[in-house]
Amino acid sequence: MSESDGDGTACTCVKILVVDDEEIALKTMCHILKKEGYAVTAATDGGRALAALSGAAFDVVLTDLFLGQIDGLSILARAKDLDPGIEVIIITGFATVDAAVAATRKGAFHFLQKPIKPDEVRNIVARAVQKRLLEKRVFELEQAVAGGVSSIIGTSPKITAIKKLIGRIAGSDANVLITGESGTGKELAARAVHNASSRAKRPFVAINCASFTEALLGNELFGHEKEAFTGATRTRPGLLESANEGSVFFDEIGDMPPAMQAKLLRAVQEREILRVGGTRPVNVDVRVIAATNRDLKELCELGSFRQDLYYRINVISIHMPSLSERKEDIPLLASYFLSRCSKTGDRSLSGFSDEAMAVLCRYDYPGNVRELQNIVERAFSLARGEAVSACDLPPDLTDVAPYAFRSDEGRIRSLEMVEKDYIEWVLRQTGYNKTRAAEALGIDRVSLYRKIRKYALKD
Amino acid sequence: MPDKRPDGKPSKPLAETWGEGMVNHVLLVTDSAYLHEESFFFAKELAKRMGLAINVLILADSGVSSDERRRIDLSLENTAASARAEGITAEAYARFGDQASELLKYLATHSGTRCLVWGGDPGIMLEPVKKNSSHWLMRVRGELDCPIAGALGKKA
Repeated sequence: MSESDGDGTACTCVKILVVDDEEIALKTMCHILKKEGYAVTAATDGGRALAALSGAAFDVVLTDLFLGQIDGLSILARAKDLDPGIEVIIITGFATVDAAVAATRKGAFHFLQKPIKPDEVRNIVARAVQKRLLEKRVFELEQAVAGGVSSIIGTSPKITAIKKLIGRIAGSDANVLITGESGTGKELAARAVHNASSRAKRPFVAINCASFTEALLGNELFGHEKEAFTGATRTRPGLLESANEGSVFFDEIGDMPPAMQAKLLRAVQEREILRVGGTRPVNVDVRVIAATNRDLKELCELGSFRQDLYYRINVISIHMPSLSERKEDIPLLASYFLSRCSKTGDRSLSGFSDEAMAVLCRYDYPGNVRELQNIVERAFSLARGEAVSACDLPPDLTDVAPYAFRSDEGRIRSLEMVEKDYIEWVLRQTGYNKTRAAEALGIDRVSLYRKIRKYALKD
Repeated sequence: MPDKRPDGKPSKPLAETWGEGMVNHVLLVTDSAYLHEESFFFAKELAKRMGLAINVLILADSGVSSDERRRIDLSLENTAASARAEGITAEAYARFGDQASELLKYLATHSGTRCLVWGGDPGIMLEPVKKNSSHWLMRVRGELDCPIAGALGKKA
């Protein structure tokens, strides 16, 4: 027998195949899952199960281990062949737990022991579905990741606005200045700008201006002629030449020495460079994309950055928000990084516990996305369960209350704003118990009530 | 600086070379020999996550006693050594004078500061702002390009 049904709720986008040769067990599981809103297909033997797998795309398969000629392990293998992301749950009797454990090692998501408990079925299937949907979403993101706009992960208003801006300037060849704190994805944005442009098929060359001394930077950027200095046994083109007709990304351009700034200006204005030791200019056609975490305009006023160069590179300006300004993107980013770890690691985790995700969303990330990535990668290596739990996260996220002083506009926050938020946080932590909150804050209850009134906090 | 520390061992010169600040780092700042333990822990964690070095900067008033200067030297050595023991590249500096000005001078010559972690008394972050009495760090915060962070202690 093979039948499918759904009750038309939102979950019917999730397709589940149930395979069992015991009629009562099959009907029970189908009934439980249909009530949850899944679209369920039932199969009474291995042959029908394989036919169903070939005919439709399922998200989750529940299969008994012993079915006859074609057993649960064969169904597991076939399902994974057709779709490596499908989740398979093995059902087994008490005497075959060892076989079920072996099946889990072959890629089964979990196993259920008979007699089946409805809550257990619901819980394990829900976890399998969650993992499946998350991996599908990450897969879609990765499919679009070729360095284009979709490589910038996030759905918050600020990031959406940046993606739209990059899309709008796709047809332009103007130079771009990207600003933002360390770890906010400035290089990612630079690559997205390049890949959206008509120069996408030409080179993208990245240079970190802070990594080189002045002499080395000059040689790297402009190259040198043969015998220009001791050891220059042949002519060597620089990075600007190698990026010809493409884009050059100058990271930390605020750290570029003044002498280099002058030479770069010439390259941008005249579209020609002089190699070290050279006398004949060499034509270059590059788009400049620059990034900095410093206030270049202020550096111009201080005299450490050339104003004419600033205006040449700041034709289009993109500001990457700090992660604390787009906290709604944290779950998606964290899941993306976790999925990447699962793909490259030797195991797979289903996601984050509710408590772990709450901790991740509360933290302010002075190190921005790069810091979040590191935290997730560390948690992945430490996690022993199926999901990342709060205890897998670094202790300063869970035990200590770090605080980054910024306003929503990226400026430093006033002490009043900080005090208001901190008192609100302490009240939540203490369950709005005024005595405990006052004690934790080191003030008396009268003072606490005064502050609650002052900031119109919930009490 | 005296040739020998109070324990008789020769004092090592602190890293005081200006202009070597191109290395990207977390700047851990305090204004005395006291270092808030949880802020230091947090600074180390942040440095590890970001792949950054730690520069420890003690900004003290020019009128501090010689005993306090010795304590400051020791504090710098111990802090840098503790960070290095965890595999973090660390340098330590002490500056004496107007703390706000010294901080700005430091930042002007050390462009690799990616985040400032306040390692002094965390209470200054929460004091109400009173006219002419706010902490010097709060007076210069508007000049900074990087985020300021600090640890407020163990959660309730």
